[in-house]
Amino acid sequence: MDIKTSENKIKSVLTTKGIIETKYIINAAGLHVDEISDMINAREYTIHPKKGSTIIFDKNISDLIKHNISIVNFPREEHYKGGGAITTLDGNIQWGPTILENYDKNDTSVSVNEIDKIFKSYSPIFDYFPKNSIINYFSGLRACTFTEDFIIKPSNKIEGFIHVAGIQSPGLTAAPAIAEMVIGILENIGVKLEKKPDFNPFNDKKKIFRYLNYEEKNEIIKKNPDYGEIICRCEQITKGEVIDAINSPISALNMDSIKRRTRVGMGRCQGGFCLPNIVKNIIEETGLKGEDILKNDEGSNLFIGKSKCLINDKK
Amino acid sequence: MIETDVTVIGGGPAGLASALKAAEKSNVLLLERGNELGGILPQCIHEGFGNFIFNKMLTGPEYAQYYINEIINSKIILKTNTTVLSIDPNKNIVATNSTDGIIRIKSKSIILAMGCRERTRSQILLPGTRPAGIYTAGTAQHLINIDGYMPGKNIIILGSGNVGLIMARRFSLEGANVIGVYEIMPNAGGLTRNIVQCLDDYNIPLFLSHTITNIVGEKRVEGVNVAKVDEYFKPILETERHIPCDCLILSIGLIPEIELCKNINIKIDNITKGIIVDNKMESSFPGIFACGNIVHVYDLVDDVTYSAEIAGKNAGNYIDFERGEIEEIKVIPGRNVSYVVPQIIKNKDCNTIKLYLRVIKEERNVNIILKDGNTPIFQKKERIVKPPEMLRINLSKQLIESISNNELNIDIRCVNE
Ligand SMILES: Cc1cc2nc3c(=O)[nH]c(=O)nc-3n(C[C@H](O)[C@H](O)[C@H](O)COP(=O)(O)OP(=O)(O)OC[C@H]3O[C@@H](n4cnc5c(N)ncnc54)[C@H](O)[C@@H]3O)c2cc1C
Repeated sequence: MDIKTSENKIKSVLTTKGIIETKYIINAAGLHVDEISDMINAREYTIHPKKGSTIIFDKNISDLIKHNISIVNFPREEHYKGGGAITTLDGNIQWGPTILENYDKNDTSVSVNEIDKIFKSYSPIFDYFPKNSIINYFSGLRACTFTEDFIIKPSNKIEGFIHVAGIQSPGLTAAPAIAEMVIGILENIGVKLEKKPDFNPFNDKKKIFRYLNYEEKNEIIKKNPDYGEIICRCEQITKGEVIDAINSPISALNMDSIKRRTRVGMGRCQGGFCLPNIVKNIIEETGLKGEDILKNDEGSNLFIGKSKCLINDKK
Repeated sequence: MIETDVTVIGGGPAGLASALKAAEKSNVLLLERGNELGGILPQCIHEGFGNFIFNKMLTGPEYAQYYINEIINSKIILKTNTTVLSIDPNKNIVATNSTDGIIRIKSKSIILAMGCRERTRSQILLPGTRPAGIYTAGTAQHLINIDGYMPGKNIIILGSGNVGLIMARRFSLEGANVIGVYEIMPNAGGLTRNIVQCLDDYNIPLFLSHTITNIVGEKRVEGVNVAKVDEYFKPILETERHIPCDCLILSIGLIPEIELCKNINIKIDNITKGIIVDNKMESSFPGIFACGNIVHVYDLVDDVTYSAEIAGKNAGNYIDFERGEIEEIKVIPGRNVSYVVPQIIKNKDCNTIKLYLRVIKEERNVNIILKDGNTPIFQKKERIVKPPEMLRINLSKQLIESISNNELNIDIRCVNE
């Protein structure tokens, strides 16, 4: 929320969960890096978001392409890889993304024009793709600066403030390398970093029901019967996986976070069948009230209240 | 490994009736993924079920309960909370539940009765944001009637399919404000009786040739843009207007749930998107039968039950043997006919056959004409035909036996043509 400095040095950060005293800040706030820099008058760039929209197809047509196919437009637009028809790790084909200047940092809507644009560029090549197999479309915003390049460097105004800005595509791919660069910068400005000898970088591999063979499935159900109950029929996600996500150390308590952890609702029915079940699981595991369960952020309540609430209001 | 004569997948009205019929002669296993039987019926608490079979208007739960009681009193082996994971070409079924774990089933015949699912926003490429408050009509019905939650207060409904119309009334009864039902086609998608009883009686306006052009709202739905469409269903931009609302209900069609069939070579109808069946409700895969909304979306549950009883009877009688070449008559939709079920007549020595068909467009004073190849053999007058109202034709034994070509063509023509 705010940063305190004194004599051009970082002092503390004010957050919604209290004040943190610190000498160093790595500003990696994506779309909002410029606003964070503004807090201490250390802005050296402005973010102008570029929207990218993607169409996602049903898994049952993933055989339609064998390789990822990229579409390159000539003359080549700078700083744009071109997108393509790509099979995701989970087996859905996606078309996109597009690229479009979009001043609003919160606007991730997908417009008719965007959908049309994707069809115009992809349909001529992939005319055999069935349109009715589209299961969703999304858009995201790339955090572009006007130099159209990563800005990874210490602030020249405030000591201890490091910019990791303009991390547009391929920022995800570059993230491990960016991290090493930032460590180098920290060491240069005198931070002593020691490797923890017992640090284990590996997470225990989660058992994902749909990828197990029948023997393994049987074993996991015998250990935890909840793994025998399919909650999301389209993606074959079990009650066990949903409950694990709800009870994990960083607990997933709303629809979208459970969806991102487990894939429930990511299939062809888009949550029509499993939503009531997931609501029930959240209530059973946490004691939350149904009407308080969110889609994602504060204010995105799934329901306005219990049945009859409007009738009782009128009385 | 469970061995049985007939496995029924799905415990909705189609699964229940077919299981009961099959059980008259065979051992039957009935698998249902939900925790109760009845399929979609338990959430259909309105009346309108069973007019033909029970001669009275029952509610969904009442209609289902009749069959559920029969199942409980039968020798049928029932597994609820049990999801089928796969079916292979040897008719081996794998299913899972929390008490048995992975279950392997060997079955002489299979009845597919998995019903249908609702089309979502993405299938009609509805643009805009992705806030909370957008539900398909069936999900909204489940939320209100089974789970006890209100999805919203100021409601816009897109699509005038039957579930959407029923929900317009349901929302009104719950004290919500149903702003209107918007339908892209020039005619309503649901039964006339539902237009009258669910919209007219509650003063809910129906806007034909209209669609939604944008969804607005960051956290909850804050409104939608609607516009009139031209004859090519393209929105006319000058007519676009914003309507504030907090909930958007989609009633834009149902699709048969055929995904379990992906490993078996079963023929699918391009129009119904359901499984192609013959007059015994057998699919193109010998020994695999289908009934209910996985074949095509029926208007009335009574017809689902009738079709299921045919499937059940024949699955119960099914014997696996080399059948050689069987004479087939293709039933072919002609002028103003969208589709006909069954698509194939395979066995002439049967009693009557009921053909179900849907028209493409509304017409008045028409004849339904059946042609044996090119020769008319049957004609039936209808005062009015409409796409939402399914037509039924009963073919007598005599008529079926008289067919000499391998094509039965069906046309709908205006009387004076
Ligand atoms: C359509 C599209 C396609 C892309 N394709 C590719 C690709 O193919 N390959 C590739 O490598 N990259 C791709 N990218 C780019 C990649 O996603 C980004 O470069 C990457 O996510 C940037 O990482 P980041 O950590 O810098 O920022 P972000 O991922 O934006 O993370 C910033 C985080 O900071 C948080 N935050 C912001 N302000 C505050 C605050 N005040 N307090 C607390 N937290 C805050 C945000 O909530 C967010 O979680 C694509 C991006 C888009 C939009």
